[in-house]
Amino acid sequence: MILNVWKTQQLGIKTIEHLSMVFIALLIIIFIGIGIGIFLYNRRNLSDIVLNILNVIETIPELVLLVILMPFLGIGFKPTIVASILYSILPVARNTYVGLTQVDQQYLESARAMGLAEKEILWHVRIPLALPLIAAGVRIAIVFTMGVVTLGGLIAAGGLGGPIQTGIHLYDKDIIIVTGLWIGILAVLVDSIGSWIEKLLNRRYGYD
Amino acid sequence: MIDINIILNAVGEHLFLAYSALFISIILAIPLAIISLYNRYLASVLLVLANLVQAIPSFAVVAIAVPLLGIGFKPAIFAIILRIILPLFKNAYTGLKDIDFFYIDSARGIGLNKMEILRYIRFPHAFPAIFAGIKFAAVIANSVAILTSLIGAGGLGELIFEGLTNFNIPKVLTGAIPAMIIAILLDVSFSLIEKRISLEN
Amino acid sequence: MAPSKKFFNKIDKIEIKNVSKNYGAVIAVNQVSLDIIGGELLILLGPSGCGKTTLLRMINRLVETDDGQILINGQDVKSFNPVLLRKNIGYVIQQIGLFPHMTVKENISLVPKLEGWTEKEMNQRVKELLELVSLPPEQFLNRKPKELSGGQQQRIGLARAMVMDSPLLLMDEPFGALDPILRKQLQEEFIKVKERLQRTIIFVTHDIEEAFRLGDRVAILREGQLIQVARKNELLVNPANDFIADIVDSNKKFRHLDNLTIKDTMLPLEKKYIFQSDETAQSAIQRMIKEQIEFGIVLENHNYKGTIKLNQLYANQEKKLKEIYSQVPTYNSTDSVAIALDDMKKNNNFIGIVMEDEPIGILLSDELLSRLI
Repeated sequence: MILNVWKTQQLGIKTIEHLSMVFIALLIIIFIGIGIGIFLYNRRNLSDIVLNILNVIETIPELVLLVILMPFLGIGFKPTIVASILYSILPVARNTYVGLTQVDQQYLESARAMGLAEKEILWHVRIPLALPLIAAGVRIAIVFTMGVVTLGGLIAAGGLGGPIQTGIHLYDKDIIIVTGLWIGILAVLVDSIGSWIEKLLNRRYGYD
Repeated sequence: MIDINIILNAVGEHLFLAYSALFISIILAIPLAIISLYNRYLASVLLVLANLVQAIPSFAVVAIAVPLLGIGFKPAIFAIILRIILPLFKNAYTGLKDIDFFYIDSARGIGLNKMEILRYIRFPHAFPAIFAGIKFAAVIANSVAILTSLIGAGGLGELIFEGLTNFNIPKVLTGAIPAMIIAILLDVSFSLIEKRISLEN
Repeated sequence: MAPSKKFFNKIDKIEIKNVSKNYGAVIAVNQVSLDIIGGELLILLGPSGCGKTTLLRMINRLVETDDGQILINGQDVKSFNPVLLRKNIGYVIQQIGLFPHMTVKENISLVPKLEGWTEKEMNQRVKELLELVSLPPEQFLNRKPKELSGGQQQRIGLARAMVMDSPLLLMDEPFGALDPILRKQLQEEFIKVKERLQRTIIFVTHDIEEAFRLGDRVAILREGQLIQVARKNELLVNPANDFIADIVDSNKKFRHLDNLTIKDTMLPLEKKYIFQSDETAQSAIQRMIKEQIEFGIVLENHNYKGTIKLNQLYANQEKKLKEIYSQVPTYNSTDSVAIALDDMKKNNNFIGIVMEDEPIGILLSDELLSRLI
């Protein structure tokens, strides 16, 4: 049953499609998320409003966000990537911002006393010490992005959501079980990789 | 044009589905958290499970309900509960557990028994955490209840899916826009309540 | 090597002129005037909240003055870019603030790296500095701060402050958080470093014993005002007022001096200082780092054999303690303090073991007391 579904639904290719979408979305999310976090660190008066807006976006149901983008972006790959980004930027941006602003005072004090300029303190002290928290944010983003990309199957983006939709339409329990479980396993695997990277960074840059 | 009654009807179905699932989950999760306070094995199993399940996409959870319970309202409510019960449990459990031992000890000192400590010490202390869990679960329930239309549970998602099959964007939006408004109202009202709670404490 | 913009090769004079600082209604520093002579170690002494740290931080502009002027070699500190000024002045704080994500080497060479030194120059400088603060470079270069004891971290903090070879060093209670014996050890080391380097040092402390041990002159502050600045003996003989007399405690100590025994002034021997003679140096190192101490007493079947110091253990990690301990003087608990202190001073010891049937305490040399005797 497993092999059969795997073959007819081309789960191998779909998995590659799926993971490449997740990967592309994540790269953009990390880039923009950390960028927003650093921007907010420089403009703290904007932090409340920006983080609140991102927070509201995150409460919108994933599928709704996806279909609301359709009038602007059509169907398929584009709205799926954009929805993933909109949905997952908050944890990265917020954790970056919090990580940068909450560096222990003693490190800032000694950095200033050594004659480091604010920019040097940002690059050599604040960002490295914020990395564990940023990684935790990225890990949440990975989970969200997996969720949104799976839904992308419903609007013809490819990936593993497609076979599930097929399974439900045909009421084919084999397809549903195999694909559903495979997505579950894949999600847990990807999340464990995220957690492993987070631990590594924690060991390297954590406080204790 | 689309009948306003159809939309209202869909909103009703959506809310009923999401909130019955939320209600049932709370009723199940809190006793589970209390039992876990006194059963370390159960607690650690559920916590590990909670972290694993959190990573699984909602769509996969909804799909898996079909081979188990078929289509319709029942598998839909089951899928939502599956999605939110563990986060609810996790918040309630950590809230009840993470209380300074000093308070428990002094409560014992003045002669409170286990139940009284739970009622008068642990619960008030855990309330903000439990509430944060409920807020989180409500957002997810609202989101998954859209998806469950795919397995025949009706609601706003049904308008979206019908629109998608005919590529009828206005119809998609008649489902999507009310869903978005509900989500935002939900977040705003929960945030207001949360603020009031934190003011009281 | 010096910072790319070197403001001073040598400190001739620092003039603090009528300097004030308010925080809202609180006057932290009130019209303080004080001259610091190039090459001296000046102590700023006073209870917490007296304004000594604020005064110190105004010199490298971590705090800006509200009023008055601070001149280094005749130049107003406000005429310098504050960031560049700080690269020209070394600064050591009590919390040390070593960056947890960097190794010892990276911590010390951060500013040199930003200044564009070559790898070779940085390695050379870091090694020099580690030797200066009595840490074997091979052992420490690549460690992380969390693998170091408090005393080792503080030495690295000192090395980091000296990396740009600045002629002026500001120190804010650098030894304040350490175990009393370790504090004394570091003070002794610091005196030697100071003599080798000939820097101008301004040193904040609330510990009068430390002030008398390290300082050339002592400035005493209270409630933001400078009460007296003088050489040490003068403070004892000629306190400006009762407050100073009270701080140096002279009357009280004179009164008791005749019948003071060692037992009255020693530190009781805590368990953490005791090591067994068949323990390896390696396990002693681990215990010392965990306990945040660098000194231990070696016993064999309850009999005192000798003492060990953390630094000498690193070179002999495989050996047992019985092969490496060294001797310090022992005194009887009923001996007179005056005689013991005199003896320690003559033989250049700062630590002695107090014996009854077995060791019961540790006597640390007391600069203040020995000046009074």
